Amino acid sequence: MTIDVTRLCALLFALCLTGAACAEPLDPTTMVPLVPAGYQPVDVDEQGLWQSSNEIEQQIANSHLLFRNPDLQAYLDSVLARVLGDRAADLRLYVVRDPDFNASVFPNGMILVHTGLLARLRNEAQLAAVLGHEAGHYLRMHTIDQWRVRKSRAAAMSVFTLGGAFGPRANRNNWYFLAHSINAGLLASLFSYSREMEAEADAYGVLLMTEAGYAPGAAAEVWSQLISERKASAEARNTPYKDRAASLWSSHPPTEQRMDGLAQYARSFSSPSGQALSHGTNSWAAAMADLLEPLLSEQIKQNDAGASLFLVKNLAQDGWTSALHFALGNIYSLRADNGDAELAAQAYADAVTFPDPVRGAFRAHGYAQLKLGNTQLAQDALRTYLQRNPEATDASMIRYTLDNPPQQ
Amino acid sequence: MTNNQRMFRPLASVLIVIMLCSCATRYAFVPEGKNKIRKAGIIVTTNQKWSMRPSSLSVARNEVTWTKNGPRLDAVTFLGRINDGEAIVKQRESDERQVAPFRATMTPPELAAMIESYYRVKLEAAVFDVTSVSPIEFLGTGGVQVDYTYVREDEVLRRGRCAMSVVENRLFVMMLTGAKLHYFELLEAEFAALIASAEVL
Repeated sequence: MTIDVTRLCALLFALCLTGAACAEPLDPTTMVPLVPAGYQPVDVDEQGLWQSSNEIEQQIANSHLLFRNPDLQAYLDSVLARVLGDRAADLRLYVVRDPDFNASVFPNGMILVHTGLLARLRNEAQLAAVLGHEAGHYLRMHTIDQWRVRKSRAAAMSVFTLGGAFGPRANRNNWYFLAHSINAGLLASLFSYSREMEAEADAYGVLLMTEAGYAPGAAAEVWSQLISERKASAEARNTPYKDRAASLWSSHPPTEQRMDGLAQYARSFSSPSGQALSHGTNSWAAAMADLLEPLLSEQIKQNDAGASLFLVKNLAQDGWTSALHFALGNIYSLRADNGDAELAAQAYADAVTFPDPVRGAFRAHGYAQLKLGNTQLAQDALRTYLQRNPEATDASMIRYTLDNPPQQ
Repeated sequence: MTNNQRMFRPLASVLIVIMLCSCATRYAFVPEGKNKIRKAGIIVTTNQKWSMRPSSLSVARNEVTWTKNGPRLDAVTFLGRINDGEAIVKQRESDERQVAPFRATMTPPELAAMIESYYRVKLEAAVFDVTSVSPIEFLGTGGVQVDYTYVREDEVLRRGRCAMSVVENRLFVMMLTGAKLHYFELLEAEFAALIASAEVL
């Protein structure tokens, strides 16, 4: 009989994870930062890690994938400052164009927030929860600790590589895919954290956001929304829902377990000095007013209709806007099932009823009515679009359509 | 069957597979003049010599791709004979993300959105910005031209131009893509000439 060492390591690692999953819940109220303010790496290992991270940061700062919006950047920096206080100076935040739900932190204090994450949040407290979690990894010194653990566990590394090989982006080697692998539950990344560290960052993140005056329940809401979205996506495709993080190989706790943990951490806090804890719904809506439409568009164009429909309707719980009706119309229009043309037309008709509709609303309304054979209504809407956007980059197409209406 | 035949039969099968593989991965020469692109159902006249990418590297349905300097730098792609209800790529219903299916009734913004879904889903473009949508005469009928920029995982900023026409309820497409720096502009005039010469096969 021969012993397969890799399988044995895998089994041992799985048992370790099972043990971690059953571990006693953490008490966030007793946690303190382990990294002092203005921290600089001290030993050779860590200095090397920081240098690599600094090189990646330089690439990101010059990348075409960076989302450059000074107003958004200023707003996000202000939320980070509120969550971290004077420790915010040690971290830097970048927004990356990518429709997936994702955020990550690198050992040198660089935080990446993906546009797909921003598109899914309902309020500032949910953003604070994400930033608190990522800052938690940094302030609890997970990055260098994890690297040292991995270095000393050659056998476990072979398991990590095995797990990573199953990931869709596991074989890529630039920073973009590295960032993906960190939070996607893939194990190929050097900086991916253990389940215990993820749980600790969750707990510490809840502590940070609560101290900053945000309602701590928002952290669990982020995961609850994500689970519902993935379930809606699976249901629309007639496939069973699978939690990628529930795999034994995942570095992250199962998503539902994580949500329960966050809710439990939130219950450990009462309002500090009796002040009202805020969700920051209005400030979030103001910051996202002009950005929601393009960010939702990135998601919608991936044509995962179940997920996109959930996403739009979830955001609409705080009130329908022109951008949300427009997004709904775009989902139906792209899905193009029986009856979707009518649903899209209704959504676009709703989008133009707002005093300041999104830029493409009248154009979409016009074309949708044209498909339904309502030529006069369609032409009126297309002319309105041209009046409002005389310099539009599709103005020649609209004029052509007006001059050459399709034959019914 | 003789012993010799029995022995050589598996060997012959292996050789055929190797030959087929080598054919499918080799770039082919495209001469100047009139070219019939049978797969896409399009005829074009070219003023330049091209290399045709092996079909084994195709992403889309009925796709033929020509290039001057390699497809990462520049490419002209022909897609054609896409029926109402079909997507321009082959995909499973259970796929989490789907390229939007073509419908013969699609409006210009819907055609642009369909192309964007192709780039986002199949080419993993994280950035895709439509820069203009304009009317175009293509394949003897009124079509749509979509111009765009995009960034894939290699972080190179590229430009794209896509001409689309619906002929007898079937979609025909010609796309020019190239690195924004230098390569796209290099082929703009030639692409316009290809479009002007294009006919349905």
